[in-house]
Amino acid sequence: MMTREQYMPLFDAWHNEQMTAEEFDSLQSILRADESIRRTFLEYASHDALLRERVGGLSIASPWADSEGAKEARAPRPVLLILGVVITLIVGFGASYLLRPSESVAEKRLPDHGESVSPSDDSTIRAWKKWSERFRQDADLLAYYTFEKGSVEGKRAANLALFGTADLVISGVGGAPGRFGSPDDSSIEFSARKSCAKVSIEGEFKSLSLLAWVQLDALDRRFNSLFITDGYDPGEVHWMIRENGTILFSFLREEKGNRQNFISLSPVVWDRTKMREWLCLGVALDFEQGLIRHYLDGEEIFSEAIPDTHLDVVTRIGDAEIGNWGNPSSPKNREYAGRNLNGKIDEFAIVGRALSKTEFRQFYRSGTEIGESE
Amino acid sequence: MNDEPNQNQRYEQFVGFFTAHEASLRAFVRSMVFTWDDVDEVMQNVALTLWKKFDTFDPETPFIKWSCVVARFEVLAFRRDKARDRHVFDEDLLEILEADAVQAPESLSPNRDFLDQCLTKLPEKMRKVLLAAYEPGARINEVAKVAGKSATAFYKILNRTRQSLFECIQRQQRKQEHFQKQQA
Repeated sequence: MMTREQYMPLFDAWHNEQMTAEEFDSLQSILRADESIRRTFLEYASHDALLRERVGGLSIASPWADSEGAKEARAPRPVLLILGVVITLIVGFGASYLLRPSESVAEKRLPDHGESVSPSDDSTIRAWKKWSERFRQDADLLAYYTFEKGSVEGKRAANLALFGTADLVISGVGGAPGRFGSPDDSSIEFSARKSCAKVSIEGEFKSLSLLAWVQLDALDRRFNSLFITDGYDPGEVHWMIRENGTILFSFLREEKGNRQNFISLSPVVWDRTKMREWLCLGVALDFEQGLIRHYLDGEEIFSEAIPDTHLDVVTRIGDAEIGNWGNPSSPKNREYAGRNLNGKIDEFAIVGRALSKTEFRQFYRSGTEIGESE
Repeated sequence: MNDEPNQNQRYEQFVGFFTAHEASLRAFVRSMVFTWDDVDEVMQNVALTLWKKFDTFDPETPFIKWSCVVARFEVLAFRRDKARDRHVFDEDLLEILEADAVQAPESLSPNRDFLDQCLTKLPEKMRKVLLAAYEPGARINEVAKVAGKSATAFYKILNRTRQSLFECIQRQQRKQEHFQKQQA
């Protein structure tokens, strides 16, 4: 059966009015073969028509109009004028995006309680800021939270990804010093069972990357959540630290009602000696290379092949939580279901593709002095 | 003597039918024709033909069924006359699409309120990208070119935005269907 991942690019090409002969042929074959895909295609066409109508493109000539009126009604608007509008829009986005970082680091919230960490100097923060501004523009960046002042309002931490939609809804988390250790830097602290940070991301992704700056106080639980989707449905991912300090990344596949879990375990990344350290953790679910890759402080620490049986999986996120498991699949099993993180998270990013080794390294180095030279 | 009022009545009846189904028809034509410029052109011909042939319309049959047949033939004529080199589906597929559209006309008439609700859920910058791309006359490839290096990014953003919007609309529709089933 044709997956959404296979036919959506063809639908996109159709709606973008950009299609090669091969793509057109593929679309024809798919539509001929599958009624439910045809239904979706018709629905998409109707949404497309509605959008067009909404923008004011209903330029159909009434049959009772005279021919001159008809001609005028269908005359396309000057392309240059439209392009002008779009250029302004693009420049406008750039400007609004550039405005945001000005309030970012310099105005970061003062932490409620100080800790004895040696503050990074200004050049480090400048390097991070410069890098972060670029990172936010990545078209595949689904979510990016830095928890800086201005980005956290009440229970919402703004998604700073330029094209991301999902804010993080936080409750029961405290403000804490960030990894730069400077007075203007902050993170969020998960401590009590009530701490939670919820996010909802729509869509399907062939590959996925997750990144986080984390400082752990303890590994209290059998599984300590970094990022866990609600429940555990096919295509969903779970990213956790086990009580022995190894990272567990897993995703689920289903075929004919038969669920197959795939678990990837990294070497130990944490023990009690690292209690005051900020770790830069990352994982890539890379279906292009058929690999799961684990990262610690910008370096790949482990990778393993995704089994052939699992290569057809399309990942989804939907409702999920950072630092908790909001909607456990077996809520009665407390040991299994309780997955609260005990520690702090400074930055968290969700990317809808597999980041390269270099990109993982850059994410780590953005917060170190070396970052500036990159 | 009585021709004039009859003609007026017929005219009003036609306008009533046509305006009620125009959006669905446009959607149906959009599913068969590759660009909005071509859709606009085909739709003018569809409207003219429907009006010319309105005498043959049997009010006992659904207007959408009759008009979908006309629309399919207009698409075929359009391809024959002007667009051999453009992407127009083969005749057999057009027939299949027509049969689907007639069988499930609801797939051609999404709820406008859902569109508005879902549009407001989009962040402003994404909404602007989407609406700019849907401006009549906007050439997405030109827009992407103007965007320079971010051409690929522009498409990705546009695709993702459109997909999340459409998924949002579909979700709302499913919710409504579910609710209606429960009521029934």
